[in-house]
Amino acid sequence: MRWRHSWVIIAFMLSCLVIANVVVAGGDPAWPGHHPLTQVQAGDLLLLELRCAACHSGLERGSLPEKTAPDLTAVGARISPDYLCRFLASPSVTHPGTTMPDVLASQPDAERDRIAEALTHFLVAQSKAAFQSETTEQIDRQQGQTLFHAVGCVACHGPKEAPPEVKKRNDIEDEDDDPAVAAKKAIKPVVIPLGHLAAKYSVSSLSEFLFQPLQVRSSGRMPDMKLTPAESLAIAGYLLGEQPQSATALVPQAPLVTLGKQHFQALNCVACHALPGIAATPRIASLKTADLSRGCLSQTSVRSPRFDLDEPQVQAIMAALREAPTADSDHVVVAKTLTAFRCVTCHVRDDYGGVHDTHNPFFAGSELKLGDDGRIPPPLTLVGAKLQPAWMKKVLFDGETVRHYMATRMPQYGTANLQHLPAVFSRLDVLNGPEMKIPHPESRDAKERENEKVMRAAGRELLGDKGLNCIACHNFNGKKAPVNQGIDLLTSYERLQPAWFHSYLRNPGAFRPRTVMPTGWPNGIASFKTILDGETDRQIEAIWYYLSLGTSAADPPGLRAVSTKIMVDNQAKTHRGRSRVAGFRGIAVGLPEKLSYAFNAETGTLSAIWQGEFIGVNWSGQGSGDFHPASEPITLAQDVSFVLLTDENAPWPLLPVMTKEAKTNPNPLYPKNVGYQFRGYDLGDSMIPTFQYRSGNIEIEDRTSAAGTDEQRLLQRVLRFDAPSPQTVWFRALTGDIQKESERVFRSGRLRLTIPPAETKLRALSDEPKRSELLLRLSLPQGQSTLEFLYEPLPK
Amino acid sequence: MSRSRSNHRRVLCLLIPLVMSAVGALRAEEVGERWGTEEREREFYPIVNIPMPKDTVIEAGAFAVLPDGRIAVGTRHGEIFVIDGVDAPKPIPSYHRFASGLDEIFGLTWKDNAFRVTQSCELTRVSDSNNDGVADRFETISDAWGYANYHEYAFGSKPDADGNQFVALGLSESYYSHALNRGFIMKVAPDGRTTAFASGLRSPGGIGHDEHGALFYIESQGPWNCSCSLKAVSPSSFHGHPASFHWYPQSPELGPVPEMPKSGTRIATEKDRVKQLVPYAVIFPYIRMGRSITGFNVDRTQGQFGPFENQLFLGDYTQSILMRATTEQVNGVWQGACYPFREGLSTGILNVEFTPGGKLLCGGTNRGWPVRGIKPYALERVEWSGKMPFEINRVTIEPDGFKVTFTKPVEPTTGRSPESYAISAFTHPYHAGYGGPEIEKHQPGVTAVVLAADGLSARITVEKLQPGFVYELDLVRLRSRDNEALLHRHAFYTVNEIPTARGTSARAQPSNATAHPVPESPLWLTYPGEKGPGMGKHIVLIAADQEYRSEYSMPMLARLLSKHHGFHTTVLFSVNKDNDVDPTQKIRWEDKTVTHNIPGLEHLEQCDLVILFSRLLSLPPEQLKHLYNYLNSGKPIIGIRTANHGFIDFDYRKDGKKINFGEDVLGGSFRSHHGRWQQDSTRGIIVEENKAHPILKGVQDIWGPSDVYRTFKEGGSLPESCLPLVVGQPLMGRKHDDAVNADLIPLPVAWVKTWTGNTGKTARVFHVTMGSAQDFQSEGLRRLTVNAAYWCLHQDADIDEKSRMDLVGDYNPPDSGFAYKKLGIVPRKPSFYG
Repeated sequence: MRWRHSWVIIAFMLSCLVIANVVVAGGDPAWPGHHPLTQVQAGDLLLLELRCAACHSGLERGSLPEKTAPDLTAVGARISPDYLCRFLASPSVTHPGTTMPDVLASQPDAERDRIAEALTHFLVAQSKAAFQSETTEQIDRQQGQTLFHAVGCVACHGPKEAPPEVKKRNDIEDEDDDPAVAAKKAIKPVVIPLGHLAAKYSVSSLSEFLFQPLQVRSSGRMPDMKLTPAESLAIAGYLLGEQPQSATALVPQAPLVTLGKQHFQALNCVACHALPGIAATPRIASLKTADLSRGCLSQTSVRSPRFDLDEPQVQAIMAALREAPTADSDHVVVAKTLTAFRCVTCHVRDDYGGVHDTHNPFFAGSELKLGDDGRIPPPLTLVGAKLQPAWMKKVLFDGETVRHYMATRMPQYGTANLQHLPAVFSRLDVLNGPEMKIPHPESRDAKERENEKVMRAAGRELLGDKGLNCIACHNFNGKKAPVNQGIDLLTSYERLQPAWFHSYLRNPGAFRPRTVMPTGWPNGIASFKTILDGETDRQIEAIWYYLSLGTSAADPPGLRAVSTKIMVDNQAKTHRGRSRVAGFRGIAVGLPEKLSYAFNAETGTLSAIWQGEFIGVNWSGQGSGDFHPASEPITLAQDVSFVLLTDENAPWPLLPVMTKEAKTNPNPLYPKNVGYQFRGYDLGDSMIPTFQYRSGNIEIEDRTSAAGTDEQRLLQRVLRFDAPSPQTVWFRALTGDIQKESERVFRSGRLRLTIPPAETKLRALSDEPKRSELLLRLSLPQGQSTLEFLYEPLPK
Repeated sequence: MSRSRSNHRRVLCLLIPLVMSAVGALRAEEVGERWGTEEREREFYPIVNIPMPKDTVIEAGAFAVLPDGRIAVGTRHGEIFVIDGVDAPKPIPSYHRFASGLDEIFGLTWKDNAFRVTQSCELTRVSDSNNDGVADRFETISDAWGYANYHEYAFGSKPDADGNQFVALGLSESYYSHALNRGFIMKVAPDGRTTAFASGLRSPGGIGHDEHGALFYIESQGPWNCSCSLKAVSPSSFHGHPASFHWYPQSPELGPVPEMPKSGTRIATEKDRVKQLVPYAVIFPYIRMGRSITGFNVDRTQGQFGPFENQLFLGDYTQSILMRATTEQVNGVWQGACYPFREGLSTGILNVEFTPGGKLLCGGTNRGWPVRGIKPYALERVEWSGKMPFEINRVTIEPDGFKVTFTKPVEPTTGRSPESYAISAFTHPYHAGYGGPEIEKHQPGVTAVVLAADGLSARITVEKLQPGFVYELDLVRLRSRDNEALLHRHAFYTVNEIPTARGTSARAQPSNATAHPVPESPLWLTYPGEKGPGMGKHIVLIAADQEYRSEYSMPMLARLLSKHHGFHTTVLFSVNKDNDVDPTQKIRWEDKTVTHNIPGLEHLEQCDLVILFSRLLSLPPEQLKHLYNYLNSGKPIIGIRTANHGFIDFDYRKDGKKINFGEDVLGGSFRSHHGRWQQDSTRGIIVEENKAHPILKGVQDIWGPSDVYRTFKEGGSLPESCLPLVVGQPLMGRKHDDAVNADLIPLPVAWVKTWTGNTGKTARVFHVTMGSAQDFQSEGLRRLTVNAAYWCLHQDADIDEKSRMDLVGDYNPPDSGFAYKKLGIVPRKPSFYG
């Protein structure tokens, strides 16, 4: 292996990685959370998030898309007019923490209310629909509460109710002495308050917003949490609570609308909130030269809008403006992006970010045994070296996920907002390791082909239950693992970069300190010495070779093929498919009375009866899914049932037999050449099918349902005939070792059959003289007639 | 669905020639198992996952669009789900299980209030007789085939125009025909009567109709098939695999048993000996273009899915990719090309369907065979982002080469260089072995390239064309005018027939005496005049309305005028700030800040006639200046439909008085919809007393789905200065033969007059108030307009009642109106309409 000599370097590098789920350092307090930004960088970010460049010139373009203001086109339908008016008059009082500046700060109080009212009239008049506070939909607030805490809302907004007390762990008593831990504890979690929501939204308007937040707030700071409409409604209902909402409808008055529009123009609201037909005024003085003690940042200025900022934030902005502009390094771009979009509230990267202790208990998953791996979003350290570029885009932009067990969802921030990120990650994150290049199928030579064979076989063995038994905790090709249902192994080749895969398998703990994922090569030494001579690198490469086959990889040893069980509840079930008990055109019918039968539609024959559960279907191979009875069936002949025998001693026409040697059907038109044609079925009462077929010119309806008592269940089969003329037709009722119990009762093996009064003929089977067949000579009148049979399954 | 137990055999026979060939090795590196285009593709054609209900397995095998716009999916598990909301921006569709218990569905269609379901065992009518939303009647329509091996799949087509459906039956164990009619295509009439239709199938993957309505099926690579291919099905055709020959005695309707094909021959020669043998219409080179191609569908979305209207889109199971194909008939034989389209789907694709919203729904499974996509099953939607990819649009054959059209204009330096068109060719043996190599590889030289003036097509002359060969075009060196490389550099054309040179060959060098006076530009379209009475004259057409799709009709008229009549033509458009043709732009009544922009109006100075189709535009003064100059020039004007209210801020003064463009120049302006807007249509009736006017020469049967404009007051009349040629009679509905609306009298819809501007020079003017893009599907209206061009140019004598008025290029414009979203009207580059 040409890369082996470099392995020492890789191992050294890994040991240097500081990867932990704990947070060590926090950045500047101007920004909340476990971010790594310096004061200047935090200030840069504030300039973007507050959109200073909307009004001021002299600001360089940031290295990530700036925050945009909400789209106001439908604001009148979305937000309570009452709230809107109060918010405009005093933004930070009405909505603490808002990034909307108080644009009326310079106005006297009376004037403020007047302008706010006019603006409200103007904005409401923009919307086609009006604000509706009532909702008629059923709201599952309990589900809303669960979702709010589970899907990840809580990571940025904090819990709505008081946070649960974090239990102090005994084993880390002394941590308080650790300065790193103390520093970490000093960091406050990101908590964007939601107390204003109840006054602001109706359940339906909040629910619509939650379903597709990027439609109103396109810059993705409030991401799409992949909620369904029902989930959005539940969360909205939970957040707004049960108190009745009283919103007085507002009918915009023309003079106020006009006045509002003038104010909207004069206050240059359009600089942030684009509205058609209104142009922004030119940008004003450069912030590079402005007196920062007097304008928007001042809490006393009466000449400009006023931002509700705390002291560290003001200091950070000032520091950023003092700094000579330089282009952000890739490292800073990542740090700023992960901070601005609050990725850091869930993910660790390098020495920053991660779930805050107070929020940690809310992160949940369905696979408890996976530990934190099963509930805490994965670290982003080296993520650019971990994920294949195409997969990273699928995760970021297409909502793709493989961690089905994790309750927290990876939000969607909008392609436009994070478009820069994959390339920066991939430049920044480099993990030198073996490339494990699989030779191309079209260009590999004979030696490579031979190697490939050996490697694939070894990889398969390693994954199986006689090897490392990876399939015990990882799903494989959609088949569930018996212990934990970890990420499907077949996704690895599509998702992961080979060097990362190699390094991770060697030492998962280096990437995830408390992972439950074991290594098969502790300290680089293979646990399985017999496979590939116990060479660690080759073994890992073998797994990669094997996984590269995708779904064409043969299942590893120990993986069980699954048969899908089909159950019957309170209605009958009809299932069509091939089966050894009913031929290729078989139909299985399961009755709620735990009695089932099969019908061969190719020949019009009741071909099997069984008790207990219904069927299993093999949907794991190439075929359409063959069915098999869930318990041992009583099988009957599958030849045609009705024949117009001209000579009553003529042999019964039998289903052609194909053998392995002679597979071609020697009588391909059987049974159509004896006059049989299947015509379909209707599902009637309790969904029990009535089969319809034709024999000659006789139309036959064939329905079998349960009869008898709970103690002794039997099947009642009713045959209805419609004949255009009186005629005689033969019906083969039973075959096998037939015993006549009475004139109308016959028994063969585990089946007792009661026939209607008819002329019978019990004769030896033409192909098996030791067994016999029971024929009924039916004289059908012109028009409709009916016959009934009872099939009674007997205990063994 | 072609994988079987003999993978190793296939691999072996494929590998040897590839490894030995230098070209093969090179290609393996560059194209290989993945095209490597996924990351670029996503910008133009993003893939959106369609979530499924938890614990529901939907291995889609077939789709049907219901009359109410919902989509039904038939699954391998034998269920039919009806899905609502597939087209939503963030799809969270609802799923309703309509039927269950069926046996693997590979054909689904909705007809007469029921599904017609092709399941493994039969073709079944499935309906809900008690209207409780769940199927309860399952009627066998046809089961006229044997079914005795799990590998015997059955694929059903949608009904053809006569209601017939075709069922393609795979072989037993994929090699043999043990059960009745395996390897046949059966034709099932609407009443269920079933006859054998074609033979020689191996392992079909889908069956349906192409853009021309011709029947095709997809064959998998395997015995007698070295690659997957699209095959044209005609009555009694034989498709290469002789296993099904022994069922001919049961099906006399198929005619005599074909000659037994000889293994180790070539299809191009063997088809002369085996007369029923139909050569593969489109070969998909194995691995480079799919390994198990499955269901396909035609893009009839009228541009909602981008520039590939009317082309076939096909899924591939193994590689989880989508491809395109185009077909054409040469000397009565079908052939065509295939093109890469999109990779990176999540599962093996079994079928595709276009949604009412113009998106491509794809679904399938990874069960049973190797699949690249990692999901066991999935539904995904591919949609057009609205950005125009630089792609090979279509390759068609010429007597001595190919014509390649592009989605964006090609930059001339690379576009004119023969070196940019690398062509290699191969053929396959026709043999009984599984799969097979690409043989007789060679690189025919490209001896000449003629790049069209608009950069949107190139004719390439190839040293030698041979029937039976696949020609692979590798255009990696081409660049678009904005210096983009092709999104997919390859196309593969299968040659069965070579057309003979036509008398007035389209490839004749342009013989127009003068060069086109307007330079090529991505901002407009130019068409050099070919042969005809218009040679040497230049017509500028202006497409700038928001309602009647002039952006479709004006390029069409321009092509017609250039190709059939010899005029140089230039089409100018109203474009937005991105230089996209944008019919969705607001007008100043709606948005006071709007200013429109028609780049290239300066070329009015060099033209001989302007055909104007604008509506309520507000142009900047520097552009209006060119219009005012034109009104002074004495050069003629044709105004169409909304041109009579073509401008809002128009300030041309004559004798100090502001003139009204509609009233004063064109002879009348829109006052109201006399006919019912978007409800009825117009039949054009020639004004009896003026029927000898040269413009009316040969004009018959004018009809269009737009309504009649009233241009003068009720009780008034057309101004004296106008000579009416055609009046429009409103009909009761929007069909050609609908009854006359007796409540509405006919009003003039076409007339001529003259106009004199400030310089005193007099111009001929023709105005027609019909003219939505769909109106121009009426040949009568086209002839009226083209005749008017001659008349306006004082070329009355050149008007020929038999001159060609057939459409040049595809012309399926969307309906009129402002429902842009529904109609798929989005900003697009001018080249889209070229």
